[in-house]
Amino acid sequence: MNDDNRKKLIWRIASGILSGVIMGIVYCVISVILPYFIRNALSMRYEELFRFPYEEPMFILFTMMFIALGIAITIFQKHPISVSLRLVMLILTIYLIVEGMNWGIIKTQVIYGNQYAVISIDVSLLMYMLIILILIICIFSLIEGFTRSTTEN
Amino acid sequence: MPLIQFSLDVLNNPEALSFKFSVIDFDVREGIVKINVTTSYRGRITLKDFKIVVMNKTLDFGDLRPGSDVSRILSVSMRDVKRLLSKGLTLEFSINGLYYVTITLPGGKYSE
Repeated sequence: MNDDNRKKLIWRIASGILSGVIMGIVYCVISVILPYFIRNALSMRYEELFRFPYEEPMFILFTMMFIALGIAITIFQKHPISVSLRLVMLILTIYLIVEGMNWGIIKTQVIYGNQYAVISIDVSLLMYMLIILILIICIFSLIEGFTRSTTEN
Repeated sequence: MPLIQFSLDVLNNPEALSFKFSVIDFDVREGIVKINVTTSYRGRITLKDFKIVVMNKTLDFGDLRPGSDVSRILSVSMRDVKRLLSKGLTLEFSINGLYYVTITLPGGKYSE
C-alpha cells in the first residue's frame, strides 16, 4: 500500500467515524433530548427546560449506543449488515420517543390558586409526528444503505 | 406552540381561567337549587369544546375565546350543594382541536 492509498484509507475511516458521531448525535437529539424538552415544557417545569439529564446513566448509555451505531453504520455502509443496524437504530429511536413522551399522555401537578391541580395532556399527535419524521429519515437511509450494499455486491 | 402558550398564560396569571358559582334559584318544594356557573377566560388561545364535569354532570361551554365569559345553569338537589363544593371538578377541552387537556381540581375552596 503506497502513501496515497494509506492516506485515503485513513481519511475514509476518519470521515466515517466523524459522520457516524454526527448521525448518532442527531438521532440522540430527536429521540432523547427532544421528547425530554417537550415533556418538561408541557409539564410546566420551565426551570428544568434546558437542564438535560447528562448525569443520568441511561442518557449517557443511549448517547453512546447511538454514536456507536452511527459509526458502525457508516463504516459498514457498503455491507448488508448496515441495513440491520439502521433497523436497530430505528426501533431504538421509536422506543425512546414513545417512552420519553410517556406513550402520548403527559401528566403534571401545578399549583392552581392555593391547591394542586392535576393536568393531563394528550400529546399523541405530536408523538406520532416525531415518529413519522424519524420513519421518513430511516426509510431514506435504509433505501440508500440497501442500494449501496447491492451495488457493491 | 399553542399548548406552551396556554400553559404560560395560566402559570403567569392563575386568574386567566376562573369560575364563579352563584345560586340563582331555589325551589324548596322540589328540593332543587339552580346554580349559575360562569367561566371567565383571559388567555390568548381559544379553548375548544370546553366542558366542566361536576358531580357526574357535564356542562358544555362550547368554544372559549380569549376574553369571554360564558355561563351555564347547573341544577342540583339541595342535599348535593355541600358536596358540590367538596367534590372538586374536572375541566376538559382541546387546544386547536389537536391536544386534549384534562384538568382535575380538588374540592374545597372555590366560592364563598
